[in-house]
Amino acid sequence: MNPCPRRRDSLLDFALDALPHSAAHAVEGHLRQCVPCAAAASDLKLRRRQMDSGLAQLFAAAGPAPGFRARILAAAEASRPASAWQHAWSAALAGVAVLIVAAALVQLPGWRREPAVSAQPPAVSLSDWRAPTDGLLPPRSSELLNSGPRLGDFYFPLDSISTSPSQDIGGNDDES
Amino acid sequence: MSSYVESLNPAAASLAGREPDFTALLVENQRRVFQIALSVVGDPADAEEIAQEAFLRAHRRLSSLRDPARFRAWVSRISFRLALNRLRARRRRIARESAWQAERPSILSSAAGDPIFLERLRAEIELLPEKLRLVLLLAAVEGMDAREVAAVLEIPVGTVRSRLHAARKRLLEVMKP
Repeated sequence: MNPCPRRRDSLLDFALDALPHSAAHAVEGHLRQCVPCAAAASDLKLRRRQMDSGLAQLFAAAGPAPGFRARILAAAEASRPASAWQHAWSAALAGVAVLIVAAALVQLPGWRREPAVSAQPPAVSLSDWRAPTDGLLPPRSSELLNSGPRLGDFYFPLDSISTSPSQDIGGNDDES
Repeated sequence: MSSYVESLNPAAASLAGREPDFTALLVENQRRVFQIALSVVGDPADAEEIAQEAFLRAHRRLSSLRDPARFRAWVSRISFRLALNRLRARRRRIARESAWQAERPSILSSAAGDPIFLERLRAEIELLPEKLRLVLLLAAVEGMDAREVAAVLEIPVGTVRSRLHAARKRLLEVMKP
């Protein structure tokens, strides 16, 4: 025997104890008069208990494997971030290293900047400039360069050439 | 004495202004976090990997947790999200491979009770829409009430109750003897 079709939905709610008090009271009144609906409700109540029991058993025995906690703790320890003290020490050491490097760089000769004070115009200063080693190592050619002929001068003295007749280039035609 | 009290109740550590004891939190929540993952992915090996990842993520950000009493809800949510991501990735893979026969592993392999009934129950749960199934399975996790399920799913408690009722009603209807 099938239950009343229009009671089908309310019987499910009744079995799940989901009906408001007044509606549940009305269904109970109907069940006292309708045998098929009473049988269906009884069956649904039984199924509901089985279902709840089954749902409770779904995960009842489910748990992680025995070494689960130890694995997580080991992984957590391996990935532990540095503590605040470790961060502070690292920062302090890095600061000291930067200071040492900076001090060493400042002590290098090339990093010293002498103030360039000069009252002369730049062009004059440039022409007067001499290398510091000029006084220590005078070049061998300096004497020759300083005593050499200037533009328009002859290297050999002309008076010594004109004293030889065979070498008179200008000729003595007028005299002969 | 104080460390013993804090190990029993990690919230006491926050009152003392110290970082909560991760080991105590792990001991307290490992079973639930595992079961949440299991309820979604269905495979114990996958669930264990997910639970481990959830705890490690929580550990990395433990110092940012202001209220250790919220650790349970927090790590539960992480576990659920990771499990859902893995489930969806698996579904995409299965869809790509067009292998619908590659069925979800049984979550009832270690459960006690009538194995035939439980297997049938599992099969019917699998046929539920995802929204109803997740609520039903999370509510079946040990010690999870509607409020905690709502916190994990990030939906209102009323929605959890209505979905839970709809899921149970549908199951009751189809679980004929």
